[in-house]
Amino acid sequence: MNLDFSVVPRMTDLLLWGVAWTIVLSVLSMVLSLILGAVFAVVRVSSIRLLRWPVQGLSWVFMGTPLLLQLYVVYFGLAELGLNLNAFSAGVIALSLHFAVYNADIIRAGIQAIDSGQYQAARSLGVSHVQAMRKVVVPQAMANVAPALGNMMIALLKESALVSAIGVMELTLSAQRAISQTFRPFEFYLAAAALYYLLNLVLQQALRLIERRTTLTR
Amino acid sequence: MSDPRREPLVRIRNLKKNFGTLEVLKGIDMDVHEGQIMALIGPSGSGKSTLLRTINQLEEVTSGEIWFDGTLVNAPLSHRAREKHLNALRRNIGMVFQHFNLFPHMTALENVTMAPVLLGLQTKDEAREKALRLLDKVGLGDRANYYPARLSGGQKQRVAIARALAMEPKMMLFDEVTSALDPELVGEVNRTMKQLAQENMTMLIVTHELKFAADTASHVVFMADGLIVEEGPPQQVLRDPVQARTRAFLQQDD
Repeated sequence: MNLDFSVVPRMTDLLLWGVAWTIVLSVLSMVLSLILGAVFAVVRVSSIRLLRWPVQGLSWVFMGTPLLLQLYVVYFGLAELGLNLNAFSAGVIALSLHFAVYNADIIRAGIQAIDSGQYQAARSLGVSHVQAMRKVVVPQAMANVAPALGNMMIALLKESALVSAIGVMELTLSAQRAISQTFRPFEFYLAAAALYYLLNLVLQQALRLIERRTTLTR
Repeated sequence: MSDPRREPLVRIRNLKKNFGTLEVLKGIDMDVHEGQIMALIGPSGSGKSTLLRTINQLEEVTSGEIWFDGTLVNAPLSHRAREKHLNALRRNIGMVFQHFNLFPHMTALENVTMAPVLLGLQTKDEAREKALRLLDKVGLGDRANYYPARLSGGQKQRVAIARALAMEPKMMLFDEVTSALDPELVGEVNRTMKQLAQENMTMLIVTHELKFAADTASHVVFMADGLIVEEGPPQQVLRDPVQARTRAFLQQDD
């Protein structure tokens, strides 16, 4: 086998385009999956069944089926129902929901580990249930489960490659485009893999920084 | 001093509380008057803390009535109405816990300013100014930007008192606030409470410290097995109790 990586720099623009969209797609989905995850977690520990059951159902569906199919359903399926989303939005929605249900489970465990005295102290000051959860319980729970959430974010960045299947020009699809122009699959798949790896290295450093900041204050 | 002719701030009538089949409160009648410093004493498991916690409804009651400042605390309401009712009630009743329960992800200052700002009672600047005054008052003006992890137990408890005072409550509940402290740190918290007592704050104090009760309280209530056994001025209840049950408890403590 002869590898010739000299073809890779010729496609720099295409690959960087892909990197940029992978970052935008992933970061947006990360933020949404964390916010949604926190909301789902709070609902899951609430006493209101009417809220708890739909979220429980949603989490079974999104945990029990493949992300790839979820992407197809959100993109093509919702279009059938008259809801036309562009591929990027569909990708963000599917990725966010898919990871939100996992995040919710992690955050829920974090919430249940917070001493009930924290919640009671907040409530004794006259703040509402939602305020007590948002300002007192959830921030502490999130800090405690930050390492586990960090792992989910790394997984999300990698799984974002699946969004190429509905035609979002992110890193994996741009590598495929480069291949179809140069007929050098191995070089470009390796290049893309290296770029994902680099992105994750940066992400890991960022997560470590966040983790250190959240533990310092305790 | 309290004026017995005035309507009491807290009026409790035939209050009962069960945990499953266990009867914790078996019919409590109690009045707390404005400006009164009431100490609740009694053996572990007598229901003192539970009684305290029913007043701000951290503990729901099984039957009976609790009135605070003219409103029925445990009125039967819909979930939503009850939430609103409780939030309004709790703004007026400060509470300090045995285990401090400071928010560890906030500085001392943020602990104190959180609720007034969140509830829109004070702007951020007003709350900050007020919190600094309160922290000063409890002797912790120089610790405003410390996180709880860097404070001693006594300091934490004094921040917790400042946090409750920031809501300008009409009454303060103290739930064994020195029980979790190293002995040498008890004094500083007791001094803060005495200072509050001198300012005529209405206080209900669950305590194991009989000496503190004797020094500070204007009224002592002795509870055992979910009932009030005896109550009266501290000299009478603590020095010259009428009931045999009270005498037995006080002797044990010596």
